[in-house]
Amino acid sequence: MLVKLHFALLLLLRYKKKHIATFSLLTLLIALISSVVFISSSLQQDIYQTLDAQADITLQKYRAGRVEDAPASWVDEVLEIEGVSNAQGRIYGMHFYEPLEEYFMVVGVDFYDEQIEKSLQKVVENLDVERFLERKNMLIGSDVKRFFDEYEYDEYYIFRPPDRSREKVYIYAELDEMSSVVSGNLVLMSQEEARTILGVDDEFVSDIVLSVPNKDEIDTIVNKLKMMHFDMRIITKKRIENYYKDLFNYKGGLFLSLYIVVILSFMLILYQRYSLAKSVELKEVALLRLSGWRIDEVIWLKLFENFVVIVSAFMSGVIVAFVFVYSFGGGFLKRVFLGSENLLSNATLSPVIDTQTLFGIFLFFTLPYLVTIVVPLWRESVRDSMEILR
Amino acid sequence: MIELKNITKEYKGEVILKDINLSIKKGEVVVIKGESGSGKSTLLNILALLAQPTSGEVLVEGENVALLSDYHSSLYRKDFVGYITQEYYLFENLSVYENLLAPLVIQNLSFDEIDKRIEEKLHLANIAKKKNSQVAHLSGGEKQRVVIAKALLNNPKVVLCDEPTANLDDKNANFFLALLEELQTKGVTILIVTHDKRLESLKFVSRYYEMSFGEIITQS
Repeated sequence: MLVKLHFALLLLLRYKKKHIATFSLLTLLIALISSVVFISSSLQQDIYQTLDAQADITLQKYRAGRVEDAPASWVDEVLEIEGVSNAQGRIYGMHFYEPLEEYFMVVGVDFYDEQIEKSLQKVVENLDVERFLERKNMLIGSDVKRFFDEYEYDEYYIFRPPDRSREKVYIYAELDEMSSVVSGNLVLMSQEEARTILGVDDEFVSDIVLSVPNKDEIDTIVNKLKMMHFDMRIITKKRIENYYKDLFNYKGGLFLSLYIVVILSFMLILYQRYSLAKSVELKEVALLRLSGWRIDEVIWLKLFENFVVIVSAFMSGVIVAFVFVYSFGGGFLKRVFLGSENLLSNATLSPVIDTQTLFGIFLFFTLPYLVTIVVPLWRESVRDSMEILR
Repeated sequence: MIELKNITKEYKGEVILKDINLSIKKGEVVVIKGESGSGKSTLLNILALLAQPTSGEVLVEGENVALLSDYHSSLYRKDFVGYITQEYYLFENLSVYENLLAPLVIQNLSFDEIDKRIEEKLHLANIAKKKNSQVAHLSGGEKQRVVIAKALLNNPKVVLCDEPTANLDDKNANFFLALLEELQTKGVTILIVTHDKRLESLKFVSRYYEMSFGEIITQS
């Protein structure tokens, strides 16, 4: 067995020119597909983490097709509904950063609330809340920090609330612990400060989030909520999940064209290998048959030889994709996913390896490749060896 | 030991061999002469089980081997017969040593045994000095000697030679003929097809045949 492996590798090395073009093209195609898989897996993980932290039901006030601040009194009203364990009014909104014409997400946080959202729990745990609240402070996401740095807002930034006053808020720390896709454009501060900057009056909140421990009761609670106020917009966690799924399907459609290009290129490689198998490789088979090799022994050798090529190409492709996505940020592919105008496109992707999909890609490339080589060799090798050699 | 009975071979409607009958005993050396295209090489291919006759029997030690399965015909080539081909059927990108490795890979030998066997045959074919040279860089005569060494690797009981001296100079041709004589003394059966005049009156040859247009026309 060792001698056979030694000989197979010897043939592979001595006839490497024959495999180099195939290897390079396959590596490129596999790298392209794997990059898409890596980016999509990372984004999906980030989004699922976000979804996981979402409230079971979110309530907004709707007027003339627009969302506006909801009355804070709704919080007490919805707490009366059986099955609702908690209800909180949230203060948040977008702030326009004029120097770079970007938007930040300003979120007001009640740092003493024990029912604080899961996604913020970690931030609060690591924060000296008393010290933080001593003056007007804020925690900023990595993208926000980068944009502030660009205009040398190292210590503080002066917000311009809707009433055009000036609100100086100090930069307390960077939010680097959380997932960067979610927190990249986030600015956290006290609820009072957020109200001032966003212009939300004390009797109002941006929206209200409800906790429903028994998921089977959600539909019933939604029906009760619908009866309460005609202008109440009810968003369930399931609806948000469906929204993200739709978004991913849309992006999936975009990448369908990329997949088609990859498949067509792969078919061209297969055709080239098929032609090579019927000419050059068939002669090698005949040479070995002349020396007493059986058909199955020759096919095994050719299978091994080409398996090494395809596995090396697969591994190289995956490594190239991994480095491209997680060390170099995924370049143009990430921009296709997130949009170049989106602030989130500057977010760093956290490494996620979707082994199941990668295994699928491995099979997709390996099986047709090996079949394309072995089948013609098997069919032709039963011919007289001398006839083939001539 | 080897008996060909009424062997006929047709290829694409053309008759290549016509009703060939031939008998060779163990340890005999038989030379078949004839012009190019007379069917000599096809006859050797049939004996090496690299081509099948259209009709007739190839009896080796009493058994008809003409229609053996792939498994058994490969076994026959691996263990029983050595074939010195006229063309240099070698891996051009491999070295001489690596080319000789190819038939031994399937012999279940250790690396040491393989090394020993290759060294021995390289000396026998007078090509040991070129052991590590790439075949593509060898001259015609050197390649021919590699083919000879390769054919003898499995210590065959029957050696089939197709124009074995065609690319050899006088010195190497004589060296090769001495090698054949030595093999004969060890009981190896040898069948040579050639039109090289240097092989016309050799003492150790048992019989000469002449072929023309697929038929044996004379025996001496």
